[in-house]
Amino acid sequence: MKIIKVTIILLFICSSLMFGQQNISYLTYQLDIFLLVLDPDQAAIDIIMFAEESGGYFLHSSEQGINVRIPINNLSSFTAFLRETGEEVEDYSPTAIDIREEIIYLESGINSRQEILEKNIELIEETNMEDTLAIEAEIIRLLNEIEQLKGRLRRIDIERGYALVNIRFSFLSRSIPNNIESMFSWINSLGLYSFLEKGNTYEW
Amino acid sequence: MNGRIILIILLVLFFISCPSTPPPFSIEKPVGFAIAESKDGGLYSAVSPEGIIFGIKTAENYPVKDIEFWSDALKNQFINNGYQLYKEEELLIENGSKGIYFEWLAPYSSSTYIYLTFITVKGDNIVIAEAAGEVKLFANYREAILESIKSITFNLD
Repeated sequence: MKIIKVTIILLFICSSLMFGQQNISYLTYQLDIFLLVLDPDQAAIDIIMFAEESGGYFLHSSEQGINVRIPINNLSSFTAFLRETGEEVEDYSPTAIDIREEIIYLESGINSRQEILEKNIELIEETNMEDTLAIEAEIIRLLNEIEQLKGRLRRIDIERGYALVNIRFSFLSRSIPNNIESMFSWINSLGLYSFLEKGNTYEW
Repeated sequence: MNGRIILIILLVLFFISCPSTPPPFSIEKPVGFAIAESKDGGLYSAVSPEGIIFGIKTAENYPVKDIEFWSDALKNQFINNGYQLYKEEELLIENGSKGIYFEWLAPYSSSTYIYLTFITVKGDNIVIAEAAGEVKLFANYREAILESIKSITFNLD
C-alpha cells in the first residue's frame, strides 16, 4: 500500500517538474473597448461567434457588454471585425501586463512544497502507524496546496495565449426624435432632418 | 415724370450694385470638402465627396445671453426632442472665443447619423456650425470639421 502511494506521489512530482519546464512568455494582454452599436444583442452574438471561430471563447454577456477571450494571434483580425460590426469604436485601450513575478512566485511555491513532500515521503518508510498518519495528513495538505498553485499557473498559461477582451456597448434607440418647439426661434431652425433636407437645396 | 423714372432706375441700380452684407466671420474650408452656394440664407456650406454636409449660419443673440445660456438651451431642447447626446466639448476658436460643440446621434434612413452643432457668441451674433453624416463616414472628417470651426475669425468688433 505504501509503495503504491509513494509511486503515485513520485508520478505527481515528475508531472509537476515537466509542467514547470514549459516555454514561458511573460505578458498577458487585455483590451477594453467601448463600442457603439445599433443592436447590442446582435452585436453580442456576432462577437461570440467570431471568438469561437477564431479559437477563443465566451466568458460573460449582459446588456451593457460582453467579455471574451481571443487568441493573441487573432487580435488584429478581431479589431478589424469590431470596426465592421460596430457603428464606431469609441475607445480602444490595450494593456499588456508583465506576469513574470507571479509566475516566479508560483513556481517557487510549488518547488518548495515538492521538496518538503519528498522529505515526507522519505520519512514515511521509517515511521510507526501514528506518525505515518500524521505524515500522510501533511502530504495531503501539501498536495492540495501544490494543486492550487498549479491551478493558478495553468490559469496564467491560458491568459498568456488568450487576450481578455472587455467590450462595453453604447447603443441607440431607433426612434426618430420628436419635434417639440423651443422658445428660441434659432434653436428651432436646427435639427438633423431639416439640415439634411437643406443639404439638397445647395448648389454644389 | 421722366426725372422720377430716372431716379427710380438709379436707385434700383444702386441697390443692385451694392455688395451684400459680408458674413461677420471668415473660416477656412474643411480639408477634403467642396464649397457650396446656399439658396436659403446659410452663410457658408461645404460638402465632402461622401456627402458629409457642413454649414455655418448666424442668428441674433436675442435676448442677449452668453455661451453657457445658449448651449444649455440648445442641449435641453435636443435632449427633450429625443436626440442622443454623444459628445459635448468646449472648443476655442481662432480669436480665443469659447465655443461649445455637441454631437448628436439619430437614426436616418437605415443608418445612424451624427449631427454636430457648434455655437459661439460674439456681440449681437450667435454663430452656428452644423455638420451631419453617417457615423462611420463622419469619423473620417471629424478632425477636418473641427479644425475648420476652430479657424473661425470674426470680422466685426
